[in-house]
Amino acid sequence: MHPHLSGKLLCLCLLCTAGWAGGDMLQLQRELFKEQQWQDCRIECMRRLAERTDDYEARLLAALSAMHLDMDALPALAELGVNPDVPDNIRLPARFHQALLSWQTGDYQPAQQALTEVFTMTDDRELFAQAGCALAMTLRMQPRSWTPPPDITAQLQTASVLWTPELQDTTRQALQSPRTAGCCNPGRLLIGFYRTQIRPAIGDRCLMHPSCSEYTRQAFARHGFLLGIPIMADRFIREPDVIKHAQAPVIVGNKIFYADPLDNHDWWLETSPDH
Amino acid sequence: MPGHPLWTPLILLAAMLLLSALSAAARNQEITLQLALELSAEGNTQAAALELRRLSLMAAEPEQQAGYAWAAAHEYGRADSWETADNLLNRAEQHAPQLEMPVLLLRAESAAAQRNLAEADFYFQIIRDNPRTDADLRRYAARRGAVMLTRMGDTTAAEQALATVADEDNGLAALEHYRQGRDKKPMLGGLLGIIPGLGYAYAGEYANALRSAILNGLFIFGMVHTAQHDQWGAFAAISFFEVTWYSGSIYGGLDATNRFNRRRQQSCLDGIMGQAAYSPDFKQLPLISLQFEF
Repeated sequence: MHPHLSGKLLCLCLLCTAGWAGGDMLQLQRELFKEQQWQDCRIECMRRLAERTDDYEARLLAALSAMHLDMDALPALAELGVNPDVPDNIRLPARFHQALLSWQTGDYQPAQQALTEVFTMTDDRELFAQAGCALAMTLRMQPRSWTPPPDITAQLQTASVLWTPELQDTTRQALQSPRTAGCCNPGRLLIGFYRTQIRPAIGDRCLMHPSCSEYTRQAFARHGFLLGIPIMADRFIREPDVIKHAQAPVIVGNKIFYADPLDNHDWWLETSPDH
Repeated sequence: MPGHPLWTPLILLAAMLLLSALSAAARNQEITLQLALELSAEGNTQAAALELRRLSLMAAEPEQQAGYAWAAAHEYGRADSWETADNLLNRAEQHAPQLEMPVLLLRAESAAAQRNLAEADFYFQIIRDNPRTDADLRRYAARRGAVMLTRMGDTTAAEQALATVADEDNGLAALEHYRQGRDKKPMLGGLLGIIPGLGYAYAGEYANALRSAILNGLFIFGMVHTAQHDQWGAFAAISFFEVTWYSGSIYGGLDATNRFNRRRQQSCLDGIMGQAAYSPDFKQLPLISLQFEF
């Protein structure tokens, strides 16, 4: 055997060993991301990045997980989105999410330019539809902030067949600023008023777990304002009984609370015959 | 060529690297397993599940991968993440078909936790009817199956499920006692709630009934009083609260009646299950060994 050949064989053997020992290094992270376990996914990505800082996919997954955890993901996404060394299959999704976050913070023009870049450059059909849908919506919402080239407008019209109602709903929600989302909900206003104006004055007095305001918030979120009101009143009437019987004590911090989850009082509203 | 002077040191180097990689991987697995066991023991089940899942990806043999995947699914179940548990059970089933019974057991528990009672009963029935199933597992599956059937309202089938295994007199007695009692009608509870407090009283919650009657009485008095004195601002504010208490009385009548029925059923289910429980012996991982208590 030629020495060069034996050297190549050795390299191959070493690579196989390393590959076998390492396996698919991002499989766990991808699975966690798919399952929307954002906290675990972010931690696993950080673990991976501690080993290899140039793993761009891990950086993207970490940034997107952070975004879902309401953490500031914009700098990480911006770094990936403008780095020419990052392959397009990672750079363009990063740029897309960067654009959405920029839009939420009111940077309309850079967001629209980034969405145009993703829309024109991506090979991924799903990202193409998402970017096109988001771009069309932003142009409708802020037509004066930026004028796209005429060919982009024509392409958007052609691509609009890909925008399913679900995609449009998701995109509309993604473009909504967290500050303004749901501000007209009376239930949210009521809870917000109590939590900001009343609770600081009277202190945390509720011995139930979840607290009455959290229970009411869940009731409004799950059943709407009209049904949430009687569910809240029922809780207030039952409260002394639950505390007296102390059937399900829960220790939070160094204080004892009594468990009374909403699930125990609305399960019969669900319609499945199995329940 | 084997005779080449570089060949021998190269082979030695490759062998050393391979051995070192193998040893590092084994040590890594050992540490990860230890961490998973400690996390599980202290009740941090989500974190334990993640470590077991990592072990499943690190393991070389399909049986080991399946064993760790099952254990991760079990911990995810304890953390109430049943959808993720289902994904890992798929992996366990795919890698080691011989884990059929433990996988079916967790699938049944997952279906029960997600309130798919018919599906859960189906899995428990497969476990119960399999002649090769371990006796303790059969007994546990019979009790759990009876619980599912009772929750679905089929007490006759629940009795039959319990009768497939021996010494289930307590469960059968609990079922008989449940059958002799009567549920209350939630719609009637709601209708009675139109008279504040009566819905709660119908379900036997007299303290709640009294509180509801007093609160509604006070606020209705306030409404009448403010209306008589043309104090319409106060009337509007008091009316908002009265609507809240009044709707709460109707909802409370429905909820209290459902709660009464559920308590009655839960007492029967507790009688059927007794002290039955199972836990995996994680010290034997990646082998799956279940320990039962009755």
